[in-house]
Amino acid sequence: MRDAGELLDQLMQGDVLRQLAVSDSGFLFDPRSGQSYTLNPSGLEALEMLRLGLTPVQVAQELSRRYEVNPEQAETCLESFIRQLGRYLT
Amino acid sequence: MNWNVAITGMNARPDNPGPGYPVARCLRQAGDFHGRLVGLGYDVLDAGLYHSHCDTSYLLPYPAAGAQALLERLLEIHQREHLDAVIPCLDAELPCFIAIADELRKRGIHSCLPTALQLKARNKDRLPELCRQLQVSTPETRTVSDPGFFRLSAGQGWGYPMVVKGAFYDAEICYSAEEAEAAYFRLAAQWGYPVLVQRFLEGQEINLTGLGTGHSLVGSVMMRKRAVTEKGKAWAGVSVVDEQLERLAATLVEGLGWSGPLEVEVLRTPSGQLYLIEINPRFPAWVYLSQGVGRNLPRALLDLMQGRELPDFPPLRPGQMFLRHAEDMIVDLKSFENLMMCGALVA
Repeated sequence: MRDAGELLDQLMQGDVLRQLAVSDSGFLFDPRSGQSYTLNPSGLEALEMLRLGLTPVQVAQELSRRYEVNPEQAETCLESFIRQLGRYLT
Repeated sequence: MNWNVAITGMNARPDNPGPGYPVARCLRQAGDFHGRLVGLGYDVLDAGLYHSHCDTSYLLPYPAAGAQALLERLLEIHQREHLDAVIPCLDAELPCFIAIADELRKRGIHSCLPTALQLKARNKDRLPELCRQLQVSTPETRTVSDPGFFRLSAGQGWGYPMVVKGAFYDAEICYSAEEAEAAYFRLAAQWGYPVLVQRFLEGQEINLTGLGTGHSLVGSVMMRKRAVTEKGKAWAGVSVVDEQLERLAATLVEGLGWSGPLEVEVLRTPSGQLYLIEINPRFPAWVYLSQGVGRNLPRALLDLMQGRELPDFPPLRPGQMFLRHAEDMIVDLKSFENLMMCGALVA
């Protein structure tokens, strides 16, 4: 989770996450690159929590609770999701 | 605003449309514009000349005929249309329009153009020098006068793919010496010499259009292409906000002292660095997006020509898309005949 945390810090410091236009439908628009993406419901929830400033550990705990999966599985999925964000948004 | 405004670049082939028709459309849709629009073109099949956005249309002599021929033709048109302004929209005609700008101004025809020196400074073959002076990154570029270069280029550190570019316009990404040679001859035949080669960089192209006031950049609108024609021209695009690009464009406008419309084309590499690809000395064909985001640049240009204070532009609005479509116009034979035989299409 440490690598994902650092990547997330980069996205937050660059103001990248805050600038994203995210709709309830899961449609995501990056105003800097003009690219648009779709998020599934859990991705949308995770992104919104990250944008609110929750730490990856807190987000994983919340996802684990909401989706009734064990915390390790939630952490792994979140880590992968943050890597995808890093790949597409930086 | 009741000006009579002449606009060039009414060519509108779907694969590579000119900016004239979108400029006319922007002015027509500006709430406070009530003047007449005069379409100017070079070919009877320049489709914008027949569109109802133009009150009248005329053919011009090709730029190769020179500045004097252009002046004479414009003064003929002026006698009938009482022009207040002209907006040239094509790269190749800019030198002639700049050469006659003072003569036109004496007769009450306004324009807002860079000087001949400023225009030359952003020529494709001089762009590397300009970028060096202004500390802006640009892909390495060199002129090629011998097509044999393409067979031996690898030995000179120029591998494939590489971009082969025309002197004024057009570019082709080439993946082999054969492709590059064919592009060289095609571009030289169409646009003359020099032909340029530019190092190919992977990245996302982002474009900006705006107005230079002579000392600063105003009204920036930025766009990322979402779909392109075979010629690489935008067929769909979306407005974006890229502060780094805006700063770069401001550096160019301030460094050049640029007056008038311009388009700045850049490439953002995966590492995030911006490389200037070119500066076009006119509005781009996608300028209608400026109206779409509430920054009607052709209308603002008329204020600039009048020396009026420009309105406060609304904040940049990312996420507005444009999608082009091709549409057939029905043209009666008499209109076609008038343009072909008299060089004028007068309602």
